[in-house]
Amino acid sequence: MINGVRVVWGNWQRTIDRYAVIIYQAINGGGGPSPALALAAAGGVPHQRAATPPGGAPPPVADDGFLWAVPKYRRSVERRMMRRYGAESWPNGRKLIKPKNNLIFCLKCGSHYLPGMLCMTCYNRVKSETEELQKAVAQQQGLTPPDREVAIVYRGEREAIDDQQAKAVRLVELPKERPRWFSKNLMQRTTTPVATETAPVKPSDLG
Amino acid sequence: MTSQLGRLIPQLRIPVQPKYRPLRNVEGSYGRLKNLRSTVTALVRDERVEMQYIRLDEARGYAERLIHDAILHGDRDTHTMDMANFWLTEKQLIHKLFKVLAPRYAEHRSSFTSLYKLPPAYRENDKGAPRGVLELKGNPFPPLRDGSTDRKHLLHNVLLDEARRQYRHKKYQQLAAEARAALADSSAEPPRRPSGD
Ligand SMILES: [Zn+2]
Repeated sequence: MINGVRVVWGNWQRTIDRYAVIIYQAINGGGGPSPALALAAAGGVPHQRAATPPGGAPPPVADDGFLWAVPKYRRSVERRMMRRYGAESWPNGRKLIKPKNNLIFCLKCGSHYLPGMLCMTCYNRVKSETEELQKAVAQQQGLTPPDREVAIVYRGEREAIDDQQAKAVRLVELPKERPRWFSKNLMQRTTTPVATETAPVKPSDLG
Repeated sequence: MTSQLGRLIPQLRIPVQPKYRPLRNVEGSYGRLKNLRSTVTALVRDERVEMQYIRLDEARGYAERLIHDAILHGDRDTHTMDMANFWLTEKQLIHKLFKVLAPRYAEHRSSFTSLYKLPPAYRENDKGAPRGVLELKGNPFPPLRDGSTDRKHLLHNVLLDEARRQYRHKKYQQLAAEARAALADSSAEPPRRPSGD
């Protein structure tokens, strides 16, 4: 921090020195950038002044044309920080990080989300499954023109569909079981079998 | 009369912005159309797409209009076929539009698509546009938002479940202790039957 301040101060001092030299040269009509040039760079300049010979009468003391479009005063740290991060007194507390008080929680997974939007936890789960299914459908479909509805068939579900139904749709079979959370009917049991065999583990290293 | 006329005129069943979205593009308005066209094609092909929200919202109207035209006029109509040819860059999807989507939505009385908003991604210096999901109704994928009333993950339900479990556990232990005491009495009568909780 102190180092930074020192560097900033050093830069500032050098700038001041440079301007002091320019002003001194302008007053004395010495070498370096001629005052006419400096003034021309600063904006509209009367022609008489540009025509002043270098050895002639010194030009009037540098007017405010010299320091146009540069900061006139140093911006205090407080001001700088306020501009950077905003303040309570600003309209709508602009730039400040404000807490959201309108979050609601998902009835399915319990995580928070913004009203009117999707719960990201549930959406990510659905998204990964959807991408897998889309890939399977695209692979099965290829470039053939789709002429029937697509039906997703997970492992162990093919038997439940009779041939007449199977002909009306395009079956896309997946070599995995239907996810527990993706049930066609909420009252219907999913095909995922419940683990019946359990192996008790005896505790060891108790002595 | 009005109802008959309403059937003839394709109408959008979605809220439409009063002004079209500019969707800036280096190629100008043609680039905008090209983007929208690829979005509509992706929607018809994949039935569910995730993208910038405004782009989806803009493409949604074109997709709805295309499907509605396909339902109303069928594949014999030149204008409808031209539109399908323009909006679907993958030509095998024209079959899908007339053979799959038109029959699917023939009896629908609401919009054919649903649009969802995704929350902003909280990344550092995030300047990304808000995103959304657009899907065709009746797709075979897991639902994005189902009306299930499963509330067992709510915090108070989790706590209540745990309290109930502990209460039951305590009750069983008490009953077991009573039964053990009754056995210890070594009387001939069998141990008292637990009477539930
Ligand atoms: Zn959720």
